[in-house]
Amino acid sequence: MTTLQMTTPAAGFHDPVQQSQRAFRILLDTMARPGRVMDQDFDCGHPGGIAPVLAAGLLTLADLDTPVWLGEGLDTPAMRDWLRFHTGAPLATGPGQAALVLLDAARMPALDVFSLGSDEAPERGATLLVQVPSLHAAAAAMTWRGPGIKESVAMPLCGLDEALWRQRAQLSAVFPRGLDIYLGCGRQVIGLPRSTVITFGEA
Amino acid sequence: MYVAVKGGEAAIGNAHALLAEDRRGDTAVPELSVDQIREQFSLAVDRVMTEGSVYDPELAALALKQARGDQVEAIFLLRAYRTTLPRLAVSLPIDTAKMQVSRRISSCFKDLPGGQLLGPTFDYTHRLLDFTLLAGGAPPRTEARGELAPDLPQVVDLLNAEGLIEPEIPDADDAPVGDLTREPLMFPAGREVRLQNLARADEGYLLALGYSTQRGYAKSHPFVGEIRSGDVAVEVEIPELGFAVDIADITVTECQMINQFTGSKSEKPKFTRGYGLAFGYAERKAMAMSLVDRSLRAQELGEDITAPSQDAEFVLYHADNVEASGFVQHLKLPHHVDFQSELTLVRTMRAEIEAASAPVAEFEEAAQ
Amino acid sequence: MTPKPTPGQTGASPAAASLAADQAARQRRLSLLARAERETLEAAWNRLEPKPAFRRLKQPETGLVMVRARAGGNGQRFNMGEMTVTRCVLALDEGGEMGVGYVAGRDRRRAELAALFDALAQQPRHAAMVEAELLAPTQESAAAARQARAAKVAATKVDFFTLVRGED
Repeated sequence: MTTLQMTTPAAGFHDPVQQSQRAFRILLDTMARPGRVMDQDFDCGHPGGIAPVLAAGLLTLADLDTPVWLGEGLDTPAMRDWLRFHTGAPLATGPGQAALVLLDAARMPALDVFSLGSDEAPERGATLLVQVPSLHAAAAAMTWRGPGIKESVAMPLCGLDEALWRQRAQLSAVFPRGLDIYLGCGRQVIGLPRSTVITFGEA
Repeated sequence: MYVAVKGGEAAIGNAHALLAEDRRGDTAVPELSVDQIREQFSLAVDRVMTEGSVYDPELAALALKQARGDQVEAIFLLRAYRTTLPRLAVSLPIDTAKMQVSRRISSCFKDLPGGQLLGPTFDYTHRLLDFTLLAGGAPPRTEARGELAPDLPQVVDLLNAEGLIEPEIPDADDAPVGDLTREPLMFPAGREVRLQNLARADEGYLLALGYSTQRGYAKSHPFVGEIRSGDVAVEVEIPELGFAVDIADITVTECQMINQFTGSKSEKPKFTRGYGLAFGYAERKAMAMSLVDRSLRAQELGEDITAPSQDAEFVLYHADNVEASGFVQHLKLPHHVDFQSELTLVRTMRAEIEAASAPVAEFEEAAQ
Repeated sequence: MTPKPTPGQTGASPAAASLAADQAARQRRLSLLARAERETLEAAWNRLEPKPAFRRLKQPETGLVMVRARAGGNGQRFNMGEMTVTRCVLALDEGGEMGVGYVAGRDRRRAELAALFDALAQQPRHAAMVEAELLAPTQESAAAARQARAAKVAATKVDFFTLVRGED
């Protein structure tokens, strides 16, 4: 038995061409309509411990040119093998070097460790894929306004600390620099582009 | 007013059909196959691969066939095709010292280890048209004798050993390598970005710029340290495995140009270097590239920038023949509205001048 | 980047040495399969009975590999230009061995066959067949072609001789 024999990494898309296009469409639509929950109507392989919708997001968005940062609790050998095998994406040398970031809501770093892009190249701002415990909560805690939202939409904290939401709210001041964020749970996802303005309380 | 116009659909369709017919030429003459172009017009194929920036002899031959032999058009076709493909991996740097050479010469040393290997060169031909080819003559038998030295050291490394030439310094393994296919050209451009730009650059343009350096527009006093053509292995880190595998051999031509440099108070005099590298057998291109590479190092080497070939913005912005041809040829597109506005402007200006000079004319008439 | 240990490294643990030897064997195999002619691969596949079942982990796909070089041959790295490469990754149903095929050009079938034989070579009952029918012949013909070309190039080597000038 050879020691080199690799264990095959977890599966990716079952039908890469069709599924990556559908996943991309969902990511695009949800970013265009911030706050609206979108359902991914198919499953894809993943290494476990990650929402299928975020796994599909990684498979769709990551490639050789997108350094990926795996947040605390998600940086496992199985995840690394899976990501490298299916996307060829390099692991970022630090959170600030990442184009794409996978995070768990329970173990979030401060948002200022990620690249916000520059005024010349705001598109270099990172895209965060955040795994959250729930997208539906009874209590609305903040209000989102901006392109893609008719008037405003009341949103729950989705399992993230309010302090973190306040950090995100402050980033509106540096627009067009900023972060684009996806919140995923199971097969459901919400998009939060950098153009969305967040206010708290009775606003 | 901006008027949208539509039309010409039938004309365009018929123009394309006529183009296809003319491309084929006289049907009484047998059609060229892509294989024939690849094998017998191999230097045209090499140029299309180099400037199209995709190594694939079959695709380059197909592009030449489709473009009726127009090199820049064929390069454009190949560049367009490459945009449809995903990037699978990046190779480890090719090792030209380990080349299986087909040609290797130096103009600096007569007796170099391994010898002067002329290979399949046009040099020493008399540039007389060979009418036996017109009659379909067979090529002469090639001689095969002896063996090549197992190691053919780079000539510049011999000078290196004595410290007489500046060494090339490898960058750190994790240093970013600029890539013009990913990021736009920005200034100041690093040497790696300049070399990528020059490798894709139009051969005629580089030839003219390189020639200008020899004629005195930027002094570099070049010698051919070494030219070598042949096959090198391409090693690719396989993402699925995590280690590198040598997956193919590609043919390349390399030119190491040695240039004079007078030292400074702090540095003893030593030779400086320029580098040229191209896909296939592309000696003229590699030589011209090495001259321009050296010329573009003027600032780094503390030389006065006095000539076009030393001006990085000028050289690099105009080197790409797909961009250049696109911008020049876009002038053929309808500029009806732009031109109408210019026409109106010129008429108005003339009318104003005529109006201003009219009273004088009346006065003159009155005086008479 | 994964370090590339050399086979037979001294001082390495037996496990590491074995890993290095396996990796070197795989590198040689993939490199030769990448150079095998489509017809040779197809013929070997046709002779194989029964045909092993497999599933594709990555469909044969053509893409680009950016070829890097170094200024001056050994200096700063730069991107020289790309080349077309086709890859395929699959796993055998029986045994689950993963095979990888990376071949220059755009022939998807060639990439798939290369991956198949890479996987089969990991099964003891097929290893000898892959070596005898594909690896050894490809290595031999590549060496022969190299030697033949080298001999023709060697014939173009310049033999300098000095013309002796008359003294009187």
